[in-house]
This record gives sequence, structure tokens and C-alpha cells, in this order.
Amino acid sequence: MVSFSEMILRKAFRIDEGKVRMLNKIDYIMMPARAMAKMLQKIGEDFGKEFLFELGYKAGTDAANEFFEHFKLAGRAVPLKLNFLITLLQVLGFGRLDVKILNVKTNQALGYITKHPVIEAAKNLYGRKSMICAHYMGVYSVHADRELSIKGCKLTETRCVTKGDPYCEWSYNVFSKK
Amino acid sequence: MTYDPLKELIVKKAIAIEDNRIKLFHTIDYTLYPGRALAIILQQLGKKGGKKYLFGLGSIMGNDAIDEMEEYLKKVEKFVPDRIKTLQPILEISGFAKFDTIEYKDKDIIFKLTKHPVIDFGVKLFGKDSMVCEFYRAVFSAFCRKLLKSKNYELVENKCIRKGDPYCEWSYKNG
Repeated sequence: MVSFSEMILRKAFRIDEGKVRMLNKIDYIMMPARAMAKMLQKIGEDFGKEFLFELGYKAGTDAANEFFEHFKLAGRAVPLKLNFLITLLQVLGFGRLDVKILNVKTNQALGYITKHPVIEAAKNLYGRKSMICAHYMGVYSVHADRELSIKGCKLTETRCVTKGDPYCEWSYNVFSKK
Repeated sequence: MTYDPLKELIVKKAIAIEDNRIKLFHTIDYTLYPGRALAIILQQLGKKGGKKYLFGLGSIMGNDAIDEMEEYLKKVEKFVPDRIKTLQPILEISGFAKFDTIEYKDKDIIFKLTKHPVIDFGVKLFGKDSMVCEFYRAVFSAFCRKLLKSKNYELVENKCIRKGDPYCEWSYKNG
């Protein structure tokens, strides 16, 4: 797996004029993780977890579209896309994904998420009252569908760092069949 | 040659990748958000809650970002060059904007911005209906209030690319 440092060295990411550009094609904005946690919590408190999930789903859909537009991911094998996705999610500050179950035939997925700077910030700020995981579950759900072929994926949470668990556990079609 | 605080900090390793995460001063965690996706969700939030709500979110973001920066800068005051601690570099290294110019005219401060990935996407996608600027107006206002220790509340928009202007311009009455 390629580390972010290596990606910088290989010029996959360039920091210039206040933004981060990936492979000269996709622009990213740097946002402080703690401030992001506060904003997402506010949105969750005002409009609910479902809305926060949908927002993440919408953002993830657009991001997936951008990847497909620019990097021609369609037609590539799932393991290749999985490696790309795991590396990318981590360098973006969307956490370290450890895939435990990924079965395209049975349409199941389960993963552990750790080292997510925004979720960690939310844990410190809000503890068990944190709602922000919903946003990232939305993001991950789209990518599981689009890049990993888990059709109709809408992840649900069974463990959470903000509740004292050692990792967030998100899954689709594992604990309840769809 | 224009001063580039981000590059200075990268060279000095004050912005570095640690454990595959971007950290400023080895302490402040950053996350990267795709500019286009961010424009889409900000617009969605504006539609859901209105412009004032979006402004409120920008205030939350801006206030906490500058608080975190100030908390840290106080601890390492001696090691951070003075030229970093002013408004323009702080806005840039916080990730929010690289302004073309910030002009000081008596008590007025005028901000001019021609390129911003999220604002630009907002205009591309939503045209004159884009509300993305409202979020950033709040972020910039928060930074001004804190760094300039001003009682005045918010920046005023003078020009905007969504209205067909060649650049975005905000002004701020300091005092």
C-alpha cells in the first residue's frame, strides 16, 4: 500500500495555492478536523443522522464520479480498486479502513475504521452524543457500491469509537440480510 | 515573488504527513475534502436551512479553526515566524483561501479572491444561485474578528463571480 508521503514524493499530490491537487486533476480543500467535527455535529443535531448520512452519500457520489471521470476506474478489478480506495481514504483523512468481509456474490461488506481524525475529534468533543459517523458512513457506502460492487450498499454501524469501542464497525448485509 | 506560507511550512516540516495524516505543527489534524463535493453539500445545506444557516455553519468552522490555530501558536510562539501569524498566511495555512490581495485602507479591509476551488465549483454548478460564498464569508469573518480583535461582526460582499464579476471581493470595517 502506498503511503501519503510516497504519493507526495511521486507527485501524486501537490499542495499549491492553498489547495491540494491529486494527479493534476482533482482539487481538494484542507479543512481542520476538529472544526469539521463541530460543523457536522451541528448539522446532525439540527437535521438528524439520516440527513447527515445523505449528505455524505451525496458527497461520496460526486467524489466517486470524479474518480471515474478522471482515473478510468470502470472495468478495473475489485482488488485493485479496493487498494486504491483504502489508500485514498486514509490520505484524505477519512480513516484507516480494514476490510473484514467483502463478498460481491453475497453482496456483503464489513469493515473496521480507525485513525479517523474527524471521528477522533468528535469523540473528544461529544463522546457518546457524537453523530458525525453518519456522514462518513454515507461516503463509504457510495464507494462500496460504486467501486467495490456491493449493490445498494447502505452501511450500518455496530461499533463506534465515540462509544468507547476500539474501532468503528460498519457493515452491509452481514447482521441483517437484504 | 509572492510570499507562500504553505510552502515555507512544508519546507520547515511544520506541515507534514504523520501516520498517513496531514498535520500542521505536528498537532492540528487536517482532513481533505473534494472541492466539488463540498460545493454540492454546502449548496444542499443552504437549500435546507437557508443562507443564514449556512453562514452559521461557516462561523462554527471559522471560529474553531482560528481558535485551534491560536491555541497552538501561543505554545510555540517563539518558533513561528511573525510573517506567518498575520491574517493572510493564517487563512491560507488553515486551508480556507489564498487571497489575491488583502488591502488595508484606513479602517477598511478589502479582500480580493479570483480562484477558490469550492466557490468556483459552486458557480459552475449552480450559477447565480450558488450559496457557497455565504459559508466562506462567515469563515473569513470569524478569522477577521479574532485576529484583528474587532468588534465588528461580518464581512460584506461587494463583488462575486456568481454575479458575473471577474473576482470575489469582500470588505470589512475594522473597529
